[in-house]
This record gives sequence, C-alpha cells and structure tokens, in this order.
Amino acid sequence: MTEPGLVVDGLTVEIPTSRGVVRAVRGVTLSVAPGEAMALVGESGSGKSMTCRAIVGLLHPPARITAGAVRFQGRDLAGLSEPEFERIRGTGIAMVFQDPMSALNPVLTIERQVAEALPAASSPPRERRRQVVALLRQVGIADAERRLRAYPHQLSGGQRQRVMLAIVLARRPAVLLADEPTTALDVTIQAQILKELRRLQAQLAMSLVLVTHDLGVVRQTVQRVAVMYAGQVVELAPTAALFARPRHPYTAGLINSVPSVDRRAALAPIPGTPPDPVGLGDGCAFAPRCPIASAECLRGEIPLRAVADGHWSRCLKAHVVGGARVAGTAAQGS
Amino acid sequence: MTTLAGELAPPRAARTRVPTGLAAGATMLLALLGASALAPVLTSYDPYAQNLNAMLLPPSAAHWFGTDNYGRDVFTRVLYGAAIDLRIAVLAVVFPFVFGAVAGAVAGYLGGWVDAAVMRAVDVITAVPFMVLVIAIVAFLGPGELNILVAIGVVDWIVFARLVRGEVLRDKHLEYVTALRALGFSRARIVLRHLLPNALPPAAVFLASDIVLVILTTSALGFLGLGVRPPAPEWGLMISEGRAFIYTGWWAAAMPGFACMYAGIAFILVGDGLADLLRVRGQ
Amino acid sequence: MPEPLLRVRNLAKSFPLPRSPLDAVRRCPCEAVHAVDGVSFDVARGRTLGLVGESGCGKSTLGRCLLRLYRPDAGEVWFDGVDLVRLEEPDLRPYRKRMQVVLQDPYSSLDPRQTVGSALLEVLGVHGIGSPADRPERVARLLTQVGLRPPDARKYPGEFSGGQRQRVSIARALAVGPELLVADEPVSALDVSIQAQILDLLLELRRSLGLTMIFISHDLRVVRYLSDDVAVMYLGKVVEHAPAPELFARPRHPYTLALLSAIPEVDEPVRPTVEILGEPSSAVHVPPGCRFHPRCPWKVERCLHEVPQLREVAPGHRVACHEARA
Repeated sequence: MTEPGLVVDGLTVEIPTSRGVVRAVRGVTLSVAPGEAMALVGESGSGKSMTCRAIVGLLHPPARITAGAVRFQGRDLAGLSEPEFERIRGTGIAMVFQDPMSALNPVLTIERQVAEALPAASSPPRERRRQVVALLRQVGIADAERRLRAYPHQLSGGQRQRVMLAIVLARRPAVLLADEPTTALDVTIQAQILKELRRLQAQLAMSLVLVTHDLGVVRQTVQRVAVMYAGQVVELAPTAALFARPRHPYTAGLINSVPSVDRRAALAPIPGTPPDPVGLGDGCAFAPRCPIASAECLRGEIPLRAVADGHWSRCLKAHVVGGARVAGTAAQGS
Repeated sequence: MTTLAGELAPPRAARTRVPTGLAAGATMLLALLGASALAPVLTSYDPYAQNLNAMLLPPSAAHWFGTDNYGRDVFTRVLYGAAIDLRIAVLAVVFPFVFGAVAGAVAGYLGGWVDAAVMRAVDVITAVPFMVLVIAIVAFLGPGELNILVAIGVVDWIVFARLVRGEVLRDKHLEYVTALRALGFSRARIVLRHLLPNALPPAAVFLASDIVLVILTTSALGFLGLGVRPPAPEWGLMISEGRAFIYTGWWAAAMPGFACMYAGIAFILVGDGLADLLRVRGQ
Repeated sequence: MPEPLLRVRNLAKSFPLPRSPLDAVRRCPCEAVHAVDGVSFDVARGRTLGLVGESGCGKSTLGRCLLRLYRPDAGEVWFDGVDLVRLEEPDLRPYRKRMQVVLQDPYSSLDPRQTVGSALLEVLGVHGIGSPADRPERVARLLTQVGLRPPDARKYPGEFSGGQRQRVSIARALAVGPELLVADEPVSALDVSIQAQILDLLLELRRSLGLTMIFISHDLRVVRYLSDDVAVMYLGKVVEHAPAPELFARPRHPYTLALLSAIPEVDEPVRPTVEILGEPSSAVHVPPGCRFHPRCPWKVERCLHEVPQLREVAPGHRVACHEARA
C-alpha cells in the first residue's frame, strides 16, 4: 500500500553564492495527508517558499536539493526527469503564486489560459468553453461568460487570483501548494479567496499547503501548522494547539508580535534580526534572539521532538514556553 | 518582496576591490600615455623629418615599426600621434557627456514641454547619420582640431541624453524622490545631486565606447582630409597616406591601425570596469 | 479647547485620464480617477488619526495632499491656522519642516548612493538646522533615537535590512523636527516581527516628541495599535470616523463591519460577521448615491440616489450611511 499524500523527508536545499553556500532549507520533514489543509508559516528567509519550489521541482539554478526526499503518493520525486515531472505537476501537485499578474500571460485571454489547462482530451470547442465557464463560476467569478474574452490587465487583483485558481483546479490536483496567494490582495478580497479555497478543498478532497506569514490567516484556514525559521521546521502542531500553547519561543514571539483589533495590549516584538543564511551551523538558529536561550542551545544538532500528541518542537526547553497570547516575554513557568 | 537579497542580513562592508578589467585597461592607457610623453627619450627620430633614402623600410632594429613613404620613422610618429588622438578623444567627449547627461536628467524629471523640446532636438540630430553630420559640420567649419571638437560636441550628446533620461524617468517615481520633495529640497538639488548620480553608471560605461568612436571618427576625418592636416602624425592621416602602399609597405598603415585597436581595447576595458566600480556598497 | 493642529475641509483631488486624440476631437468629457472626493476631519495636537481603507480608497492620495505633494483640486488644509492649499512653493518651505512623511517601501525610500550619515547631514544643511560643526553630533543622536548606532552613519542603505532602512527613513523625517508626521503604510512591507519593532518605535517617538500623527494603512490591526481616532475611507470618501475604542467596539457602517469581519484574527472572533460581495467599483465611474451601495447588504431605495453625509450618531462618532444601526 503506497503511502498517500505528500511526504517531505529531510529536505535540504543549498544555493552556492559568491559569499558562501546558503542553506535555504535544512532538513525539513513534514507530511500532508489527502484532504488535509496545512500551513507553512515563516518570515523572509525562513525557507518556506524554497521548500514549495523544491517539492514541484521549480528551483532556480544554482539552487538545488542536496539531501532528503520528496515522495508523492509513494513515488520519490527527486530522481524524476523533467518530462516525468511535467506529468506530476498540474494533476498531482499544483502551485499558485503570490503575484497573479506575473503568473498570467498578459497577451492571452482568460478563456485561452484556462482552456489550456484543461486535460488534453480532445473535446469540441463548445464543450471546452462550457468547462471553462463552469470553472470560472466555481472559483466565484461573477459574469463568467462576459469575462471569457478579457485579458489579465482588465481584471482586478482578486479576479486574477481567482483565474489562477481556476487554471490550477482545471486539472483537479491532489495537492495544491499556495505560496502567499492572498498577500497582495485587500483584506475583504482575501477573505473571499480564502473562503473559496476552503470550499474547493472540501469539495475536491484536495490537500492544501498554504505558505503565509500571516498568523491570522493560518488560524482561520488550516488544520495543521508548520512554523519555519532559518530553513528549519521549528514547530509542527494542530492549529488550535499551536495557538493555545506554542512550544517554541519563536512561535510565541510571532504570536505576540501580531497586533489585534480587539486587544490594545502592548506588543512584545522579537528583538534583533533573522540570521545570515550563509554560515548557519549547529545549534539553534533562533538562540541569539531568544529570551530563554542558554549555553546548551548553541551546540549540537537539535532535533524536532514530540512534546504532545501530534505536537512537535525543536526547542530544548519546550516545556517552559508560555501560554496563549501573553503580553510580555514568551517564557513562563510550566 | 522576498528576494534572496532581501532575506540576507546586512553584509559586512567589503573593501572596494578594483576590478581586473579596469586595472588592465588603465594600465594599457597609462603605458600608452607614458610612452607618448617619453617619446623624445624612447626615440631619437623627428616625426616630421623626411629621409628619402629610407623610404618604406620594413621593421628592423633601426626602425621598430619601419618607415613610411617619406622615410619617416613610423614608431616615432605613432608615439607622437598618440598625444594628438588621445587628446582629441578625451576632449571631444567631455562636452557631450556633461551636457547630454544634464539635458537628459532635466528633461526626464520635468517632462512636459522641456522634455518635448529636448527630445525633438534629439530626434532631429538622430535623423542624420552620425558620420554624415559630423563631416558636414567639419566641412562647413573647415578642418582643424577645434572644429572636430565642435562638430562632435554638437552631435554626440544625444546618446548620453537618452541614456540618462531613461534612468531618470524610471527613478523619479522611487519613494526617495517623494521623500526629498516632502523635505522641501529644490528640484535642482533632487535632479542634480540625487537622480543624476544614480543615472550615470550606464552613461559612464558608454563613455568609454564613445571615446573609441571618437578616435575612429577623428581617424576617419583625417583619412578624408577633413581633420587634422598633414604632416601631423595623427593616426587616421597615417592610415590614409599609407593606404596606397599596402602591398609594398603594409606597416605604414597597419601600425597606426594597431595603435587604434590598442587604444580602443584599453578604453573598453576601462568602461566595463567603471560599471563595476561605480556600484556602491550594497547594490 | 485649543485649535486642532490640522483641519481638513472638503478636500478633493482627481487625476484626469489621458484621452485618445479621437475622443478629444469628439469632445468626449475627460474622464478622471476621483481619488479623494470631499473629505473633512480635524486632528488635535498630539493625537494620532488612523486612515484606513483598501486599495483605491484614496488614503495615500489624501496623505500626499496634506503634505502638498499634490495640489488639491478643491478644499482647504488648515495647518496651525494657515491654509496650505493657498500657498505656493516658496511659502510652503517653512511648513515642510513642520510636517514630514514616512513611506512604505524601505528599498526605494533612500538614495542608494548616499551614506545614511550624509543623507541626514544634507537634510540638516538644506534647512539650516544647527551649525556645520554640531551637525555630525545631531546625526548621531538621530540615529540613536531610532534604534541604530552612530557608526552606522558611514553605511550605504544597501547594507541595511528592510527594518533598519525604515528606521533611517524615520530618522530623516525627524531630522527637521516636525510636529506632524504622516506615515503612509510604514510597516506594510516588513516582516511581522520587524513590524512590531517599528510600531513600538513609532509609539515611543510619538510619546517622547509629542508628535501628531496621521497613520495610513490597510491593516486595521496595526491602525488599532497606534491610533487614537480612526477614519475609514471608501472610494474617496470617509464613511465612518470615531475614536478608536468606539469604532472597534461599536462600528456602524456596513463597510467597517465588513472590514472587521474580514480580518483574519489570531484570537476567536467576537463580533458578528458581515460579508460583502464583489469588488470595489471603479473610481472613475463612481456609483450614484452611496458609493458603497452595489456591495452593501443593507441597502434600500434611498441609497441608490442620495449621497449619505457624515452625521454624528454618538459623541465624536460620525457615520455616512442612511441605514447606520444605532
């Protein structure tokens, strides 16, 4: 019985640069079951986008996978040739990107671009048009027939993102990787798109990996969360558990950095800046900024350990990390 | 937003290394200038002295580059000619560069009728091929070094204007320009002290190629009898006079030709190196 | 009751769209983007007004009109008793010292060819602040004030991270000693953890310098953190304006409610959800009557042809809606 879903096992992506080797992704392990929605959360430089690109084989050279494996429905994707990969992309694993304007071809009509994505089975043009209209309606584009002949620049950001979704869904992928799909959109449009995503996911029993930096989006949209920092997964947990009791100081720090509309409590920003990705060594990459770090945190390879049911943390002191939404430092007695 | 450059923490300040191309080109130029300045030391011949007993002698220990059809030592004439050609080349580009850059920057920033006026002038000058226009102006003014400078000055500025205008058109929408306007900086200050320096790198790189173009133009004018007058040892003139003797004395025309090539390569190396050098720490 | 530092009355700004020559010959009326269409509010000294809205609502244009970076088409901007709209450039110069701006993009808001120190020195020099001898010290103090170190003055912007560059921009704005600071999406391009640092910096500077601030953002969470009063904008008009605690506790305009519902919160939601459909209308062909009516779940007949005016429904709380729930 092949293992279903998507499994990433110890993935490492390195990029040689003039200043040294950048280890953008360092031993990332996670899995997404069929029909599950998961978020990859992190800030710039955390490696979340690189991980997704590595999964679908879209890394820009000279970035390359130097260790680990990606298995989709039991098949190892690492050794695949480009033609084989092309067959997996789209129907197996699909990806949507942040900026829909640059993802759509500006000189082709919407109908043409969505129709291109339909499975290659030859059907009469009328049938294909009907399918395109159905897809556009499915992603919530009002007046789908009138939009067929429109070009991307004539649509708004939200509509373009919906068209991207339609193109991607035309192949009914088993897994959808969405890299910051709503970051560039207004908040009311973002709410609509996220709602569509959830609905489509449920309807098509599709797995969703949502890459985002917005913890609020995470809270509202997914069942499981992987928090990334400096190329590693530092915490992995079900959503409710993560927010109720984060077990890594970075996660706690992030949660305390997000202002809320309903609370006027002081923020507790994480001091300092993310580390230089060149020359990341052993020890915890977050230690320089961590309020509870000590000497042992700087040495050796720190593994991801289970701290509760389905809840993993890469912190040696996971048991002392504080409770929900504290205004102040992340540390608290357990 | 999330480019790798943005993800990296600030790099430590690196020492500005002089790029190898720039060093090589500069060395070549300095060698040429040095040789030219030291000409009286390096060679005892007089560049103008004719010796009809020694016409078209091939290169030898006595005459490193041979002699031309008047018996003059070619090596000596190439060295003395370097001074002429380099002087004209460098002087000729100063005005186009300065005037063109400023005109382009002002036109790009102000837009409107100023931009239209400058661009129409550029269009008019572009309509006529470069060489043709230069030749026409020199023919009108008469031959001589100064007139070459004037002719090139009138025609050559347009490339710099276009290059700089393009950069300024793009950069004027950057937020720092808005911020400086809000700080009450005058338009002159914003254009000349901020936008123009940022717009210069492509123009500076082109400057080097432009010098090569001017050398060739000067040589062409000399060749046509419109530039520097004989018996001056200007390289173009030498090529022109030596052309008739290509089969019997190829060195008379080829040596000055090699000299043009040498200078051209040197300037291009300098130009490319300048582009690297002009990049400021962190860019 | 002291005079408010800033009084804005009926401010309007449109950007005409280019016409094709054919349309010009046919004398089609020139179309324009009506970015700001009749906005009025006051800001008292030392208070922070949050201007909130989504893209296209006109908040950035409004901010630039206040700073006279654009010339408003109509209306008045009274700064400390003087109408800035009436002034020409040379007379505006002294006011430029008193109102400054911090912009959104840290990667383009600094001249890449100027060291941070020389940029700050230039600002001081242009405005004749201090003497040439003591300016370097002022620069050092400014850098320290925004959380950087004096040796950083020798660095070029490219050597700083995004958050640090924003600090430099803030230092540059503070160099002239302004009373009013307009911050146009100052943290939107920053990572979450850096956002929090810069927000706290702004908070601290406001307190220590007694700044009056206009904080423009599309993110209500961030606006909530910094603002005393909040004005919500939609398609060029203010639709609701109230003190922050009041607006967030008792929002009255359906658009405000929709915005609040749409925010993905980390905590559990505490208010009823209002969903709106569709996309904002074009700012060129503005809907008649209430601009929000095509998307409004509460609309009635009246909304289609009568423009609602801002009226006070509670002390200090004004709403422009015919159907505002009490």
